[in-house]
Amino acid sequence: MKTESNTSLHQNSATPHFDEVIHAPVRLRICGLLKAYGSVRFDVLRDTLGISDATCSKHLKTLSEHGYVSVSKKTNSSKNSKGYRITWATLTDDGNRAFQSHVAALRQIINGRE
Amino acid sequence: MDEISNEHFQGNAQQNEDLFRTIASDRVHLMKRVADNRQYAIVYTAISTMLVLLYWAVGLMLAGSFPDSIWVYAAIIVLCLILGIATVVVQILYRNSTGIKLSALTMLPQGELGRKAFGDYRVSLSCGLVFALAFVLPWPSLIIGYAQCHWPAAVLYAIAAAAVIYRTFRWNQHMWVCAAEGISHEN
Repeated sequence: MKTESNTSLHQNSATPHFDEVIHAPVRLRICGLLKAYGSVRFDVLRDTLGISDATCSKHLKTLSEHGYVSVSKKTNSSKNSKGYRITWATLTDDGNRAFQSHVAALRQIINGRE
Repeated sequence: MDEISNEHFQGNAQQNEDLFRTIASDRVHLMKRVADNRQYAIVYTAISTMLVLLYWAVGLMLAGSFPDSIWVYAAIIVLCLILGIATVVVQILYRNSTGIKLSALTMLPQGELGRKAFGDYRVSLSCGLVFALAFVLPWPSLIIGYAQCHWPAAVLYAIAAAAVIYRTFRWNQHMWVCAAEGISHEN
């Protein structure tokens, strides 16, 4: 059932462009998750990456400031929530393009070694 | 100097490969969160089974057997509404528990991973099978119960049908996880 990961690793056709904003490992992982799943809730991102609230928030803010991620906050209306707001993160079209170009640049480095 | 830059280059390439592996592992971690929904799947199947039992009322009317009392129609409408709302509530609870935007129809992620996974014929086939079975399997219980008057057999059949639908639903999710696990290495 599994597809060949090594084959699919070379399928990106984007123009390689190294992006300093995305290159930070946590931000690269955030973009990788958002690209795969569309929209992901803040706490799920934080738990999956195994980082603190502050770190996750800081990196999302950086990506958001560069227009790579859109962050939406919705008030939780459930009884026990005390009105706190739930944050959802989504990769924007610019973010998607930048991520693909950055991944292509990283692959170029890997391929250059071989 | 060349040796140093070559070593540096090799190190960068290794780091990048490690990053790709970490991204793939993050994605697998998240997809297991989606598939880890046994309790919701059981509740969802139980509600679906009750909804399916309402087929009987519709089926009887289609066969020309219209009830005389207005209360029977009222009860059918109220039951349909309650079960319909319960289905939506379970879907919302499940989506909230995963923390990922899911399709209301398939309860699977909508992102690129989900779209690509559906490109695998086994995923789309198992998904189609779930819908087909949910629609087709309940009808024989109407025949067993109404036409042949074997009500205990009809109830047993309904439970067995629900179990088959539940297993197909889980199989569909398993197929999706397997397909997505392979795709998750694609960055």
